[in-house]
Amino acid sequence: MRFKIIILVLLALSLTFVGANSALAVDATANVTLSATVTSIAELTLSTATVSFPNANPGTVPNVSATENGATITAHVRTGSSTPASLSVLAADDLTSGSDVIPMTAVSSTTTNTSGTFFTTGAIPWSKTAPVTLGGGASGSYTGTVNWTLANSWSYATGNYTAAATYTLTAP
Amino acid sequence: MRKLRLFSSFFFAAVLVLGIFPGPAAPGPSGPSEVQLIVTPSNIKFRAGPPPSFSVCEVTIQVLAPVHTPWRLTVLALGPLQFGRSAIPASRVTWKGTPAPIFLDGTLSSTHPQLLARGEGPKVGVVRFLLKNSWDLAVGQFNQKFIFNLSTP
Repeated sequence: MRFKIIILVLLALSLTFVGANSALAVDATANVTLSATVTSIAELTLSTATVSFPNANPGTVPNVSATENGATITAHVRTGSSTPASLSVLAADDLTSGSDVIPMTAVSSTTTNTSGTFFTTGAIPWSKTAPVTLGGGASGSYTGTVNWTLANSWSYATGNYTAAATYTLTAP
Repeated sequence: MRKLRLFSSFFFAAVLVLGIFPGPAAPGPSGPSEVQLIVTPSNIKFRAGPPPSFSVCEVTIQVLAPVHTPWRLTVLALGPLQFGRSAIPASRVTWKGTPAPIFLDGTLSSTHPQLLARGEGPKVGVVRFLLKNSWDLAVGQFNQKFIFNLSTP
């Protein structure tokens, strides 16, 4: 009886051996290191390059709306997680018509966020001396609507006033 | 005594059987049944440009296996592409393998090995990895390791 058990054990062992060898998979591995360099980048689009204020009676229209109001502004920005992007505008000079001047602070803009939250809401007066911040935030794509307003005044001399201003989107 | 003789006979018979019919060879440095996997280069780099473009880099994969030996090749990322606390999910990386149908197209995963190729015998293919650029990617130098695993049944 004992001998039979020994034989059975040996048989089982031999089958286990053969079975284990048969089930072996032959493996080979290779490692690859992937790196991705993601750099800061910014794109700014404004649907109009000119903003014009029509003539208006200061008594009835104290704030003149620009003809281009409702323009679309789009900011695409990719920036560092601890260095938010910022949008600003800086006028090159006051509005001038010959020697007549309307101070740039009479112009203001209001931007409404339509996709994402990036633009500062509320009327923001412009300046010719320092960039005025119009918004800021993290990496992403943002869209807004812009309205411009000119504070009207009886004191303005008649004329055709012009000035240039630059919007700058910065991704540090 | 008779029992001992019987036992010895069986023992030698068992040794003989195991010696004559061994299982397939285990993986080793050499031998006719050995399979090898060569992936070059071992470092690949994406350079993310402006969205919505794709960054592309590629590897050449060489499978050395005996003729008619079937094999499967999978790829697994060890995690998301990492830079400090910023991460790009591995699933942002896709690939296109050639030649089809041996080398497949797919999307990288950091949780489950993804089938990249299957075939028989020696084969060479090219896999182009693509990272879709997006404005919401954080800025940084991201890194991660991929493991390619070749197996034969």
